[in-house]
Amino acid sequence: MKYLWKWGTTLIGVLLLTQMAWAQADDSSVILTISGLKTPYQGKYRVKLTRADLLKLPQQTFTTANPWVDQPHQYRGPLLADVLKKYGITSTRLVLVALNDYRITMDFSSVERFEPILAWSDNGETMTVRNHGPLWLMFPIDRFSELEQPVYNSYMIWQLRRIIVAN
Amino acid sequence: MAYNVRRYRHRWFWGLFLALTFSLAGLIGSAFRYQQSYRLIHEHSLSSAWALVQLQEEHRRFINTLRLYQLQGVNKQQLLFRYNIFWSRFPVLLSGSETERLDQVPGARALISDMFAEVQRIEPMLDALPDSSVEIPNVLGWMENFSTPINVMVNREFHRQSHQQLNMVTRLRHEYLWFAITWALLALSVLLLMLLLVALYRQNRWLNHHDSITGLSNRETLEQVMADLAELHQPYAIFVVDVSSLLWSERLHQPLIHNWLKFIADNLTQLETSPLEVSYIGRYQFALLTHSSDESEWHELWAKMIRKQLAIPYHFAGEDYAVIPKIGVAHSDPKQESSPLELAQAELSISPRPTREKQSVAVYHEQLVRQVVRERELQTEFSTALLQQQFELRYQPVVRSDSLRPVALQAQVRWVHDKWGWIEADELAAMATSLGEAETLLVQTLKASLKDHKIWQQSDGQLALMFPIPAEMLNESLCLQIMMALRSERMLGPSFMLILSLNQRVLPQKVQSFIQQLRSSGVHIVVDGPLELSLERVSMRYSGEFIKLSAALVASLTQAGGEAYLEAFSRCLSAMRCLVMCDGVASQEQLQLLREYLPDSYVSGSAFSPYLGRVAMENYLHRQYQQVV
Repeated sequence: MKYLWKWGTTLIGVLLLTQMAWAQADDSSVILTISGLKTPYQGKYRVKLTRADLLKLPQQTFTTANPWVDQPHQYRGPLLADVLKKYGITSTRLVLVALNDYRITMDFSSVERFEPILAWSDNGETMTVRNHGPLWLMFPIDRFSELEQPVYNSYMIWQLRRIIVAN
Repeated sequence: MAYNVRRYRHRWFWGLFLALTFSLAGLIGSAFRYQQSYRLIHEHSLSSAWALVQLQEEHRRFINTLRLYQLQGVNKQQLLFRYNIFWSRFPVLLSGSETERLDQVPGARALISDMFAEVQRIEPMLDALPDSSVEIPNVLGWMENFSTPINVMVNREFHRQSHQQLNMVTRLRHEYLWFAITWALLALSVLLLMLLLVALYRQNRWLNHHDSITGLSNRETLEQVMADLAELHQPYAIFVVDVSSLLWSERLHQPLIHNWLKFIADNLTQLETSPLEVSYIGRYQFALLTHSSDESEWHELWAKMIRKQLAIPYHFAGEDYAVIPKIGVAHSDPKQESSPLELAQAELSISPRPTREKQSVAVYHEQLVRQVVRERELQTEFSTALLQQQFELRYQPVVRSDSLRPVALQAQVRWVHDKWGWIEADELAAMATSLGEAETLLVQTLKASLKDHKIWQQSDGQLALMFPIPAEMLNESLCLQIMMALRSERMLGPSFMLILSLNQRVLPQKVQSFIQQLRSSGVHIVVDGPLELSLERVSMRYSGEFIKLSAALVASLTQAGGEAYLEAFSRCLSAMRCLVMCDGVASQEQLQLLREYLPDSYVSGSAFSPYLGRVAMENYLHRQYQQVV
């Protein structure tokens, strides 16, 4: 009985640790890659970000409607401006690439004032690939009426996996 | 007929106007259609085909990843990652932003629903990997079953939409073509209109130039014929027919006027008695040269013939036009043998200001030159005379018919000219009006007469001043100036009377209000003019309390029926409680009649005193007061 209790607790401990390791692995898997050229003729750079990296940045939360949901949802994530600033990216011409290789070019200086976020949470739940995740570039549409124009809708790329910084 | 050409031009204008209107309407219509089609093409993208293509692509990628997994090229996590991406396309298509577009594709929803069911069915098998590796070939088979349908659907939809877009682009091109054509039409119409206007302008300029050249050469030719006749000692007369009144027709433009002049020239050559020459001498004047005659009424007969011929109407655009000519005539001077002046003389005969006898022919006489010269000189010197106050004020006493006591002085102005002598009030007023100086003359005269009157009033406070003014001249500025002059001399009240001459039956509303304004300010009004107008004004009780009987009317009272007329008139006046002032009383007989029927009337005229200058008037008044004393 004593051995049974001993092996039982050990097994549970191992299982818990495994679960934690999985969770750790989930937070530590790369969900966004930022790449681009350094200053001319100085080679390329590539920054791989995990959710944990993004969580270290100040988080923003807002509730807004958008063309892909029936009612307003609450989104949470760091400001795209903060992410770029943290990695010293000054160029404003960005190519955003989704998991299905859909890509859009965006001039960040024209949208910076709307404070878009890299949303990883939708209504309090971590977004998965199946529901527009792991990252969705989200604009506070309800706060700025001009964001209802189609051009801004096209910037709201979901399943975002890569940002290519063009010089 | 020549004027048909003008009609044709008229149609040109209408044609261009219609072309402009239609082009403009067409342009607006085609621009609207073009914009609509353009918008439709840009809104109608290949979106539904694009959504299917994305699904097709993810389907292909998943099958490839599955095959790689079979060959151990990717691990389970990578396979599941690809599976999740594939899975995430379905909610977007079946219940997301692409659903509406997908529903436009026949059969797409059923196929994709089946596909999603199959994808959901294989999920436990994928989760169970690698234990369920044995199922991978089956999964591959199930997934590949959908490859052909999805490929066919994508191709079909893509081609359908491409074809539709091609159609729209073709339509857009057609509409663009129409748009361009209407633009070109509009530009062409505007260009044609401008060309036509330029052509008309050039033609008008040419016609005007041609008119003056023709006039000059015709004049020279005519003078040559006249010189030939003079050398042969044949008496002749020349009529100048002025048709400038045709310019009053506002609808006529220059080419049409020239056609009308041609029409008049044709008519003048077809007189009952043919003239020797008919020439156009420019400035809308024709000259007719004939043999002269000493018969009385000869001129009138010719004038009648000319008028009759010119009464033939000129027909244009459904309307008849006629012209009333002015006709002047001059006879040859038998003594003169060279340089005949008759043409200039005939022209001169119609140049003075129109008289009442508009219809008669104006015959040249030597006094005419003097008259024209006098008129020109006076007009030239008028402004200087006005500035230097060369006008003389004269007064005629107005007395009571019963006591013959002076009650008022009637003012009048005349111009004492060094060369031409006295220019009387009527002529002076007409001249001032034609020169636009009537108001200045009137105010200047009023101020001078008020000053004179103030001196005389010190001797007799009852003595009033009567000052004449044409009613139609009344305006705001004149009323104000009259009021200011009266106030500065403190002449408001019964000591001043304005003699208002009425010549029109209907007075403008503004003039009526000015009269009322003057009356309410204490100015007494004497109504002058034709009797029926005066009575009408007085009976309407807005013009005055005095009626002035003209000298002509007073002169007619001593003729047959005069007494009956006076009796009726006195009854009328007493009914209206109105006083009367009789002008131009020239005899004791007239005075007696007026005393009998109009005992309270004021009278003036040569029977009492003519118009007198300032000094003579003072003497007159002095004598009158001595008599009273």
